[in-house]
Amino acid sequence: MSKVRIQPRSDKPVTTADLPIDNKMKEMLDQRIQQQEPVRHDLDQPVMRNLPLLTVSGLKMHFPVRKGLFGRQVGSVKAVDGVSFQIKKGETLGIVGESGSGKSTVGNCIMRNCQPTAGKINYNGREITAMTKAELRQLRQELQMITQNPYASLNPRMTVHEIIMEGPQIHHTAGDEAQQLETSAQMLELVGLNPSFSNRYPHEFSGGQRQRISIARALAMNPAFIVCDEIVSALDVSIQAQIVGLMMKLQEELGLTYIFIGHDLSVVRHLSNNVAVMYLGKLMELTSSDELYEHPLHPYTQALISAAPIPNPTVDRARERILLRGDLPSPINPPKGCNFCTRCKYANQRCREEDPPFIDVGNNHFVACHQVKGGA
Amino acid sequence: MKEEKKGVKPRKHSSPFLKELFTTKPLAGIGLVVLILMVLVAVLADVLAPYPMVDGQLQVDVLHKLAKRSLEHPLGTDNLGRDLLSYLIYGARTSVILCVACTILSTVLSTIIGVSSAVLGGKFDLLVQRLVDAWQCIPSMLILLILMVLLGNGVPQLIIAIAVPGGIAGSRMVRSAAMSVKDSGYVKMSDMLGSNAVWKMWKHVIPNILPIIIINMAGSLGGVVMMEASLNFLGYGVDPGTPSWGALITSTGRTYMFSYPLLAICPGVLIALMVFASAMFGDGVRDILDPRLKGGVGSYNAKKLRKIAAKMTAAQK
Amino acid sequence: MAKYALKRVLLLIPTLLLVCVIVFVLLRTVPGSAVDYMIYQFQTAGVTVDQAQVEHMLGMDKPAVVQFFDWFTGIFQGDLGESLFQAEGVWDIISRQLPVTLELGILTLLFSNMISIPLGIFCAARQDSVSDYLIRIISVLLLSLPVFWIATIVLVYPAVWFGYAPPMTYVPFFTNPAENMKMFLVPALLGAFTQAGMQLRTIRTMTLETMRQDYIRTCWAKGVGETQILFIHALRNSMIPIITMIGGSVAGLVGGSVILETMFNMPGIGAQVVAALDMRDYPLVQGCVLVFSIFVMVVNLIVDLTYKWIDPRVELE
Repeated sequence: MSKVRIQPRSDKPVTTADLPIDNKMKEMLDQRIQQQEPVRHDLDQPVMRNLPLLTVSGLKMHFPVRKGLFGRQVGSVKAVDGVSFQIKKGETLGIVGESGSGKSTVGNCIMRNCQPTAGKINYNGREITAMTKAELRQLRQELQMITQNPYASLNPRMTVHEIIMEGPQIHHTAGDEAQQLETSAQMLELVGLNPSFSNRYPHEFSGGQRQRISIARALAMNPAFIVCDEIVSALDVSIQAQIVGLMMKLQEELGLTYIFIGHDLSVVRHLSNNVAVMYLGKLMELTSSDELYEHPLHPYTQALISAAPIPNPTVDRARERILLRGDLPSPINPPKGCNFCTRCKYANQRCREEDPPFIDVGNNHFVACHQVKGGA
Repeated sequence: MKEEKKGVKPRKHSSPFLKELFTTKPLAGIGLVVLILMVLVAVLADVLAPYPMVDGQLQVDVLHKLAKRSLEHPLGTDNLGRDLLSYLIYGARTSVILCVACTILSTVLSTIIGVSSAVLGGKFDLLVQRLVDAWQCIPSMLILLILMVLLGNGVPQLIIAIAVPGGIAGSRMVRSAAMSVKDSGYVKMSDMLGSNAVWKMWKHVIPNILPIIIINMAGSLGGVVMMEASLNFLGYGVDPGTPSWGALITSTGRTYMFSYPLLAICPGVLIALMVFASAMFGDGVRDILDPRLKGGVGSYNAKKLRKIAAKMTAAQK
Repeated sequence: MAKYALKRVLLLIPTLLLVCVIVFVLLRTVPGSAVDYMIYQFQTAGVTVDQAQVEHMLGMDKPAVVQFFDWFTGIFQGDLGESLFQAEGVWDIISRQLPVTLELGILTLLFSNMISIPLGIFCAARQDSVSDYLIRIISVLLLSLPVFWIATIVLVYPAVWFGYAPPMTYVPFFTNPAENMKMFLVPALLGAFTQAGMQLRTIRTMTLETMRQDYIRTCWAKGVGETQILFIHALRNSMIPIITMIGGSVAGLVGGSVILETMFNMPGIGAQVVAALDMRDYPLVQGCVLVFSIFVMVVNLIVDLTYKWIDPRVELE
């Protein structure tokens, strides 16, 4: 497994000599450093790995359900119902779960695309939930999002150049036309596309290329933090690997921090330092990715992992599958007690009555389950 | 490498729209040619008219009123002795001015109302839509009449009276088109880049609903001429001194229908020609630009299928 | 269904309120000269009045809000105020004239649908054939000819050649159908031609759009006959836009009825509103516009309910 880990950077003056990238890229970065342009992505600062960059606590997002003649509120969809986690600088948190588990809503809340019902989201000491519209616009420069569908997310009437430079133009940081052309060319190169593509239109590209353009658009804002919402789900498997590789390369070069939302366990594992498992708006388990995959504690996680295909057919056939029966309960009316109790084969009376707390069972392994040892 | 990068210029759209119009929609092409001719006549009225305007008025020559066709007056004169051909040429100018001004004004209005209502959304959208709904319930002819009573006769008044209701009515279509663009991925992404409503409207929504706007625009051309003529019939319209086809039919044309039929027939034919050309052009524009009429495998009918079947049997033999 | 209908009916109330506000505001913004005009009208009738008296008569000495609510609450009590120049209540005048306008409208719609629906479907089924082109050109020609112009010709020439003249007194249909039709047939047919020209093109486009759908292609592929495809599969699915269009054209029909009634001297509301505007009889104008708007609203309601009946997918917005 060639898992790339981010090395803590030292206090030394910035050079590109020891970066594991090719020469062309080095030249480019060197040039930028010399030009004293706003240096990309904290290369000049030591990465303080121990300080969390983003802290989410008690996040709730309930969408009202209205009915009848006068739009009376008859209930609410509890898309996210009390989620807490931290992400350290330069790390990746993976969030996995079925569709409808609320994982994308978490991403949208962090981007403040929707105003959370309750809870706090602290980014680098600033409270996102309390930001005004103007502050939020400024925050967009540091916090970016890449979404699932590369076909819908690019304006068909803009050239690639215009798409990439949209962000800097909005924030008036783009400079004159020559600078803009150069920046967009650099961004294209950074994501592995030919810079001469910059005057083409999105329909001339394949899905993978479009996703690279989306990434370039996000990078042009010079962000420190990117929410990747199922960015590879709509792509072919071979293309998925390329995009995942690109995201890892970029993280290493630019010191980015990611939230990587997905439903493909192997992809998420490949990219993430920590992985959170969501079910029906709640976190079920959260720990480092290796720990999660090797020692899953929550019955739901176990079921998920057992359902993921293993490339070796002999191993795949031999192992025990845990099949989940029934459908995801309605998030309007989640079960009393543990959310998973309707489908859990270990569920007992206590699970059906009492909501299990989300606690550390040791070794930074958080689980919400009554059945797990130490979870009492 | 660097040189090459700098050499890359943002590319402009070059669409073979006109070519497609003329090759696939010949009637629409003819319509366009007629419209262009009308515009030319309007622009060159002073040169083309045998008796050009003096101080913005056609020369009145009561001695030669209702003259028959002659070399001096190719189409004769009206009841005030004004040369009919000159009158018609200047009438084209009035019609073209009205058409252009009304279409532009109503398009701008409908775009502003429709797009802002869609993008801003919320209570604003609700309020605007309720108002537009209510406005649509009042028959447009009545609104036109009331506006003309309010504003009085004259070309600028006509422009406002025709364009404002047209713009409000057209905003519906613009809004529904803008709604679908507004919900698209790239507008959401633009939001995440920190754009404001104006940016979204200008950079994303308007460029993407441009076909709809143009279809609307081309489709409303003919209506303007028709409305002006109808208003003239009901006693409202241009100032008495301004030459206008509609006014000619309803006043002099009807009075002298038998003795001088040209006075009624010429302007009627011209109005019909202009509306016909606009309608044909508008249809062609819609057929080419409307994405709903594009793509797919096309439609079949029994005749077509029989032909295909005949071809296949011939090939088998 | 009942719930849907109830909600639709309830939604009419705010729309009605807004319509009233728009009509009221439009007519209230009439420049001060209107009062002068009325003084002049009275003077020509041999009555001397001063400004205060006229304003009192119009109720304009009360605050605008009070005036509006007097009028608005009056609507629900069947009281639309008094005409200024006819010694009658507005409601009495309108209820006497409503049958004429309704009959003309219904006949026009009936004729235009009888012409446009079969021809429109035929054109779609034989797309781009010679007959398709011919029918379309004729339909646009019909649309391009100003109604009042043809009406003039229809009124004047037959009168001279055959001594035909439409009757000038209105006879209710059930009293004497033949005499009644003598009055209505010609104007209704004229209105229907214009209307049919408009409808035919939309019906053709809508049917063509449906004919491109995959399920129609499947029908061809499995050997369903053309008649069955057209009238069972295509027509039913293109019915919604066609009904929308017919519903939407009702507001336009009013405009036509204004011209036709004026032209043919028919005692309907359309002619009445023009006369009332001419006299600046504002209570009467308000009443007429309101009745027309309510009519349009009711038609829209029926159209909406028909959607639900035709297409089970239609949901409440």
